[in-house]
Amino acid sequence: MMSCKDLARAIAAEETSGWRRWLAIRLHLLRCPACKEYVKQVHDLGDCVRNEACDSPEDAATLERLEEAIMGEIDRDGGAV
Amino acid sequence: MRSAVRAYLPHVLRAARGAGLDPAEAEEVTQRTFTTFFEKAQRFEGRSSVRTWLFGILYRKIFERRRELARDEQRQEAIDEAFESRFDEAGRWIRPPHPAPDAALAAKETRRHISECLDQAPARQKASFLLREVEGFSTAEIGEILGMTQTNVGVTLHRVRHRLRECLETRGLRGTEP
Repeated sequence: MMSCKDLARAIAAEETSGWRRWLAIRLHLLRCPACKEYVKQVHDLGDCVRNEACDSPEDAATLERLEEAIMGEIDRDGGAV
Repeated sequence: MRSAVRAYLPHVLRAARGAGLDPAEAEEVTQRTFTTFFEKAQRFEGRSSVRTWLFGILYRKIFERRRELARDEQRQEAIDEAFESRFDEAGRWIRPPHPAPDAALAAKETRRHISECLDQAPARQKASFLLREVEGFSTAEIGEILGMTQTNVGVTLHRVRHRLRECLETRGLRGTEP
């Protein structure tokens, strides 16, 4: 039987492939609220960081300026490709 | 070429900033990344996706520039001990994660704490986490980008996620069972 420690490590390391492991994780989660909470928190952390990144897009003027600088440098170098 | 720059530029710049470079440095490294990308485009063999290859160039430049970022992996991982200490000999929780309200993680203040906790993580841990969660790369792709085995990426993700949880708990955002 998979222990809480093994499950926590597998979830955080994303070592969940293979049907035996997948089933062991599912069965463990059915009877372990603490691990269920752990899995939720790991996913929430990712969601939170992703949302923060999506809510803070790079400044359009900066991107435009940088794009022109990159294209200018490539043109100067004679279009490397 | 312009369409490729336009498509990938926001992601590359975001990753450069996320890696801890200041805004001016991040812009310079981003520019150099694209220059190298186009210089070496003829040598691209298609063994990875263009995006993975581009991010590989980016991170090599970041680690070249900030050698101390790459070095900090050498220190003993106290976080492994912290992880072990949360379980008994049978692998059961001694200090299980304390349930927190869903709204807590959405709060701006919490996001700031996460960002600060992430800044304390070693460079490759932080990079692995951001590449996975923000850019959506697979663990195999992260391995290609950062020059690590897929197993090492797994270990690194485990460490950074546990580190973040511990850091947030320390700040009172996540308690433990009494």
